[in-house]
Amino acid sequence: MAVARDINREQSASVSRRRFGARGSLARREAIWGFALISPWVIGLLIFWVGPLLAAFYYSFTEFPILSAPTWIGLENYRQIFTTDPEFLISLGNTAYYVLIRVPLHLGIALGLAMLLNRATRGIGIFRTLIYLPSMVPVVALAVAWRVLLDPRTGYVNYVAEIFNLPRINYLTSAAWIKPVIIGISLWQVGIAMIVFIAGLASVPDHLYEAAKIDGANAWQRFCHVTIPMLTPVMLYNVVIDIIASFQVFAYAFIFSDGGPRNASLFYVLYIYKQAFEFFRMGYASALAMILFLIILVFTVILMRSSDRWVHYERI
Amino acid sequence: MTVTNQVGRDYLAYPETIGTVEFSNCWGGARILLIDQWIADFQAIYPNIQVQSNVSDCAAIREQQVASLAGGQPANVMMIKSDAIAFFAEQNAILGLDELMARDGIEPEWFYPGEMASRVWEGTTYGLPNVTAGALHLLFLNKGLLERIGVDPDQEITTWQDLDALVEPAKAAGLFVMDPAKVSTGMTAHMLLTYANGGRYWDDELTTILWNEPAGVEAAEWLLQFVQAQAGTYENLATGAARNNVIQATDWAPEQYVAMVNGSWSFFQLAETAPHIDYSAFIFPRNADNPASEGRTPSTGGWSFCLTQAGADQAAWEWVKFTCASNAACSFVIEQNRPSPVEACNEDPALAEANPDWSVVVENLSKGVAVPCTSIHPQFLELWLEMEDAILFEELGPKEALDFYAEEGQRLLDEWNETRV
Repeated sequence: MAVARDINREQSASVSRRRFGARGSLARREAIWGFALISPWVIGLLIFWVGPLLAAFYYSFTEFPILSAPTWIGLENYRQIFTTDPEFLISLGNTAYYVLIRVPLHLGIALGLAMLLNRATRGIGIFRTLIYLPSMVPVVALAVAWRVLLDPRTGYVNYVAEIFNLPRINYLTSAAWIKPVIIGISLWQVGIAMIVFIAGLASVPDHLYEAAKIDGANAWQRFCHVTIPMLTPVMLYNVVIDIIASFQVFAYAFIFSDGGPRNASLFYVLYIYKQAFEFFRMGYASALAMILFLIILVFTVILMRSSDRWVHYERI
Repeated sequence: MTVTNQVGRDYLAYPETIGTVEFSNCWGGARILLIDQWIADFQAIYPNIQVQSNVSDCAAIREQQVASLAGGQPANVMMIKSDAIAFFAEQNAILGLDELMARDGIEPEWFYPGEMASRVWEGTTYGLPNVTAGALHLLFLNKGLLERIGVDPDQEITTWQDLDALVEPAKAAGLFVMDPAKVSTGMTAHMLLTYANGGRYWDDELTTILWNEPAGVEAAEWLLQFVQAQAGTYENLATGAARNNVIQATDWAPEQYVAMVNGSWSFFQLAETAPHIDYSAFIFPRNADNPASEGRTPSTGGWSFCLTQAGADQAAWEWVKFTCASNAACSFVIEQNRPSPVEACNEDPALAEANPDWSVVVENLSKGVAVPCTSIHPQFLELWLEMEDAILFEELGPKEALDFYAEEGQRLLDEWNETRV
């Protein structure tokens, strides 16, 4: 009996090998095709992303004035950043202010606009296009245009303010105003997040609203208990992308004020730029960049880990 | 063969040279036509040299040049600001020119001493001046506005006190005298005022910070009081331009400010963008309360043409000589109504005929002081901007700010000197 059982087992294994051998070959072929098709992206990722990241990590331990070879100095750049560089904390503080104020404002406005524009009204496409348009304008062009508009003596912003008996303000040379102004102008490009929210809203099934209505929920309750939970996956995406983008704020401060006045607009990436391309301290700039990378990574990990608790994935 | 420059001085040229010149520069806009003319004139003499002009934005040119040097494919002639010469020389990126100059008879004495001095680093000449580093700080006065505020439009403004006297009449007319912080790129208003007041920012050996000495303190105190007298705070007075920006002729065109401090290029710019303004020009004012104050102005950043170590060859050197020391060098700046670093070019009577303020330009040039620059000039510039912000925005008192940043500057200077040794 034992011999018969062994023969049966062997036969069954052989059948299985034949069957799965054919499947394995198909899977292998599919895998090869898959890898071949994604290889341009993977190669690009390795060359243009992983390579520079690893290089920056190495340079962060060196003194590297670009035109001569890097010299290994261990943790000296990091020691300087954390112990003797007041502008590190200033730029980090400015950036934190920007992220903390800008991300909720940006996403709140994007969601509000998405709610307004998520209805089948005549001409809605025109409004969507108009609100999305500033997102298509290059940031540099937008910054230059706003610089003209905000001119204290000849700009239209102060001209309009004066009509309403408001004082003329030199927004770009005021340490108190420069960050709020940059945040305000960045909101001009709310269109991308808005479009993502509109896509999210379009995918909320109508039957959930109908069920809520039957249960007596009013508009606010439907928003809080249907719309918001159903939008949480889209929100997670928007929050992660927005935090990453906000930590990298650069162009407005570079064009408006070069970090001034009194370092009030010295954002972190602008500070990295100054170290790298004005002072040519590429090693120091790399160390600053690695710290920013870690900060963004921590935020992203916290968001992704916490998403189990607040992101609702509806299965239909 | 020999080439004769504008004033009959000769240098040796080699018209049979074969090669290609890649010329990294930022002479864009209206100057592109002048560059094209240069190339055509050059190729008439050097038929076997091809010139390729690569134009960048002036603000970004250093970054691009460093990137091309790091990538191993630099242009063989680079247009470099004199305050960056120490950096490129220290990195062995550019070639010393003294031997080539001696061989071909290019004499440093052809150029203003202050101009040549700002192209020398550690005793070696690394570039020939193409345009001046001086004459960047002329005082322009709007004669129409002077008349409007009840001041004789032909009155000479030569001292800080003369400027003070304009404040009340200007305020009464709802105008400002000027935004004193917008003076020029490469330096700050306090630096300019300190040199005009007979002071210095550091010694010639670049070892000791001097900006907090009495001349610097007086300069800072005057700067702050001039701002406060006009508008209470700097925020109320400032033009909308970013810090460290020279005021543009277009900023002056709306006629809100009676005066501006600007470079000799403004004659051309004002004619183009604000022809309605009737103006006069003066050398930078001095402090009448200080006998040592002569209104001398510091110069740190004039454009030079340099040979890169990697690409230097005879063709490139012929191009540098042609564009900086021949007739073509003179006509390039004269076409723009601005002075030449070649002293004799500016003596052409046609210049005085074309520009009634020409004598002011020449006097300003003769009063220029070349400020020696370190190879970490941008770091110092950042420090000076912070110092000036601290004064203008009254974060610290003038003396307190100068002392605080002098300590920081001395530390930076000491660290840099250690690397030199």
